[in-house]
Amino acid sequence: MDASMKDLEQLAVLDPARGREPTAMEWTRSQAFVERVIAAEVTPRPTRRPVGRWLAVGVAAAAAGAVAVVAVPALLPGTAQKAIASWTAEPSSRTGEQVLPQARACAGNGVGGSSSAVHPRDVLLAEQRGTATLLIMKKSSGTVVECLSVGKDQLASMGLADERPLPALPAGTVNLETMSSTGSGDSMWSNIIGLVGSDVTGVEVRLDNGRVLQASVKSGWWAAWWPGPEGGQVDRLTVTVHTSTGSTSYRPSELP
Amino acid sequence: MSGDDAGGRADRFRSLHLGTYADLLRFVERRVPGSEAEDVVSTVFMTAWRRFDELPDDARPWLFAVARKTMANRTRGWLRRQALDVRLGSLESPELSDDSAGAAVRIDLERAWKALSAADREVLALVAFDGLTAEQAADVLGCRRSTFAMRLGRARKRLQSALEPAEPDTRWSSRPHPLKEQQSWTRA
Repeated sequence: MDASMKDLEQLAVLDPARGREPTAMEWTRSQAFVERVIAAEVTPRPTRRPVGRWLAVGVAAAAAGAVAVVAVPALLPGTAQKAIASWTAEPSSRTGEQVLPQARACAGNGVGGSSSAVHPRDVLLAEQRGTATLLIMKKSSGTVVECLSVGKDQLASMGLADERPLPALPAGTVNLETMSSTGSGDSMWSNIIGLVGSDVTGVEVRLDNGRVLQASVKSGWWAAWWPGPEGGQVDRLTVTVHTSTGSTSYRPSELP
Repeated sequence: MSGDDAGGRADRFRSLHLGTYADLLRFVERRVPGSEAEDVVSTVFMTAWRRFDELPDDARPWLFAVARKTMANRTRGWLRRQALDVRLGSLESPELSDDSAGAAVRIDLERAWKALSAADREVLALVAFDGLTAEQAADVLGCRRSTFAMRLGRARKRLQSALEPAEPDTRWSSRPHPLKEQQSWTRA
């Protein structure tokens, strides 16, 4: 920065990360993550088959043990492919008791803080599509997180809401809390999540390619995930909200 | 890829991580709450590993650009409900508690900062906070260096205008959120 940029130097006092250095624990977690990512490709193997890569990831994750970090979303490519291969357009509803192991794994990662004790009632919504379990749960910190679990050691997680009260929606309406896609090629998947008002009996997602999938609705939330990129694109799907009096369809950009 | 090649690639990636992790974490924490930042950074490094062969020699702007896209792709409702802004440091910063003159300057800067558009704040932050050159910042935003220089020049002029004394203005007294809650993402 040259002398003529004193105004910019002056601005540095507002920098929220001024003097911020990663802690030793942050370095440890990040390096462990990097090793996991590398292990998926570097572990000696006879071929480059995806299945080999996935197995290598599993071994590396086990070796990393308690310091393994979960990215958001962090399903590695092989795992995502496995989940995608078994995906179903219609989910099976799961109770908190049924998904307690996944909820414990979800609670144990650092996203939205960790929960030491997990109860079935902490699970707000849970569904199964093939091998993947999607759940929304409240952590002891009061934050609400989403987790997508595949197998015993593969988990993607993201924070949905902090501890403050959520807005109450008008009856028969839904909002859009988050919609995104992650991965690439055959490993790309999308998710969509929102809140529902009372009197919403169901939510359906119709992709522009014609595929229709049923979202799960429970405890004031609606959620779905599917293979493909539409969650990261603008208005490439339609959300249909069913109530006791009829149905209304929206593009995501039309949802509050 | 032979084992040696793979090992060498892995070592270069570890060096990249060692050399850029702190900067990348700071870059992300300036734009999303700390609780989200580590996860965004992890995703950036995962992307960097997949596309390692595409990384330019100066990898930092490339990583920052991926981080911006990652953040933009994860719009969360609870963040959207807050003001869109590059975050500011907390007013309760200990370094200001014994320096009322410094605090006054800072309050003026904050007011000026908040008077700017999110786009102006972004170009200023890339240079003033993230410490990038105009060329690097242009890479992060995916625009030409000349375009960035023009945007930076205009943003600095508007910053200066906002810092100049003006008639009493009640805009700030009605700000609904305390400063420390002004946190969200910039758009890619």
